[in-house]
Amino acid sequence: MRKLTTYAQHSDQVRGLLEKLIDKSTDEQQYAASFYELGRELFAELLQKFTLRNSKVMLACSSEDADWLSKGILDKLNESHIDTKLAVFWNLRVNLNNDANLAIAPITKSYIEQTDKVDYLIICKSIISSSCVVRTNITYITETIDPAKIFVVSPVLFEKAIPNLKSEFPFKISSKFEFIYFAEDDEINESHEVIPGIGGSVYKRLGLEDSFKKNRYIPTIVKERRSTNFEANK
Amino acid sequence: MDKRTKVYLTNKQRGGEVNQRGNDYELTFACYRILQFVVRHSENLQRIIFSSQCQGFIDDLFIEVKVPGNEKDLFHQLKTSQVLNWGNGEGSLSYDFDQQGKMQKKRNKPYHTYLVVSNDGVYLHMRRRIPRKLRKYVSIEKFPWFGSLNAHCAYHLQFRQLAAQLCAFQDTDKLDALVKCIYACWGATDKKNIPLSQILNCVRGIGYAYLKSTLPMILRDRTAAILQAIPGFRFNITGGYFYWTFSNTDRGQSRYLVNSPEFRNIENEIIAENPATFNDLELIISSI
Repeated sequence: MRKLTTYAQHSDQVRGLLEKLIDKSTDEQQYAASFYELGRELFAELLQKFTLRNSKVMLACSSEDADWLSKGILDKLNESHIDTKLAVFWNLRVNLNNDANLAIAPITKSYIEQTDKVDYLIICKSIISSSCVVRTNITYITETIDPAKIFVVSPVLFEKAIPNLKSEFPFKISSKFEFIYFAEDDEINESHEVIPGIGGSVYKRLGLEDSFKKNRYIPTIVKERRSTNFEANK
Repeated sequence: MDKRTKVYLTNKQRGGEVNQRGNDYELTFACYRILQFVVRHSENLQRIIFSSQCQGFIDDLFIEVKVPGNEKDLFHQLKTSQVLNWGNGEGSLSYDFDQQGKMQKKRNKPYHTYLVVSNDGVYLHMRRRIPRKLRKYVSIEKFPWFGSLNAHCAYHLQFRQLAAQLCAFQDTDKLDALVKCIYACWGATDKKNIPLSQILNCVRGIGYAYLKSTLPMILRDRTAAILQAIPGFRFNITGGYFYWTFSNTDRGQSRYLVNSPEFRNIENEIIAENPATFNDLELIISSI
């Protein structure tokens, strides 16, 4: 059973985008475009609740979310003239012994723009279910930076994702969490996919095949920003 | 549902949660002991035998050390209770430890028993109140419970330090992967007479463990020459794994040992493609 947040209930646009993700006839381009628009909408909701003006933000995501969901948020951050650094992680997501309780997501590669200070961390993910990838990446980032707030941003959450994620961190970190999302689902199928969730595996729907092959994808926003960074540091 | 049924259901669910916590605690503690013994006895892994729920009065974890000159039996009873007492008579902790001691004396082999507790107050109370007859061969050990194996890896200092001694990299995600592989390999056995060498072989076989190697390893000369010529790219071999950085933004590592067939295939691809820039190289090393 799906529960929509108040923001989603009042937005035809958001409900339409969530439906597009679920719809199996949505092609790769439309699917990716829906995530981009959802990224923009999620950030609009974040801005309704919090003020980020004059602050330094780090936007973090997995490589498979970078060019769509994350790009939508990044474009809105840029339009709002907020000083933003980008962190992208290539996680290798595996359930050991095919047991979801033994999920690991080691980071095989990362792109992180250097900064001396971060006021707010925004970590986004296409869907948060077991929280394994999000937990891994938040742990990694918070070992080197100390943001005042950590925004966990995703169009769809599994119902236990919030308490599960909080329980993985000491209070000094979990107390900084703010969850921005549009829908909460309470069903999971045999393939560990949330139902209706985002209409199946994000890798497959985006044409990135699986957890291994998707790591060969280098997001366009990484290529562009890295090139600018490299030239500036020469 | 009437009030009485609701209370029953709540208690039943609570019981299930307590059982689950006890089970997770036992498996996490077994991982901790596996890490300790692998670090201490790396040359004798086939001579350290782990069992759980073996026959005996103290049966949560049994370790048989068969290292020549250091043979001993180690018994562990684990408790996550917030309140605990030694008690008296059959069924009490005092009775169980006493009976285990009597059994071991007949076997004429060095042994020691451990009561492992998660709670600070219980730890202090059980130490203070330990019966005189048990003092020679029972130790009280505190092993805190952080709520999950992930949290242990990230926030339990001793646990993390042990994992770090075996892992090629010190990042929490790599330590987490190593410890979960150990947990998965131990959990997949029947937990009866399992040599540590069997667990470590299983961990190596999984391929996501970043288990440190002490063997000297180097890249082929041609590979090294190609990589050294790429502007902004740096690399080294860390604990047997290829580690790299680019500029001040990118870093990564292989999950395969440098002397593995998988990594040699990557080297072949680097030599065949001869990348001149990081953008060219990135596609090749992104799959390792």
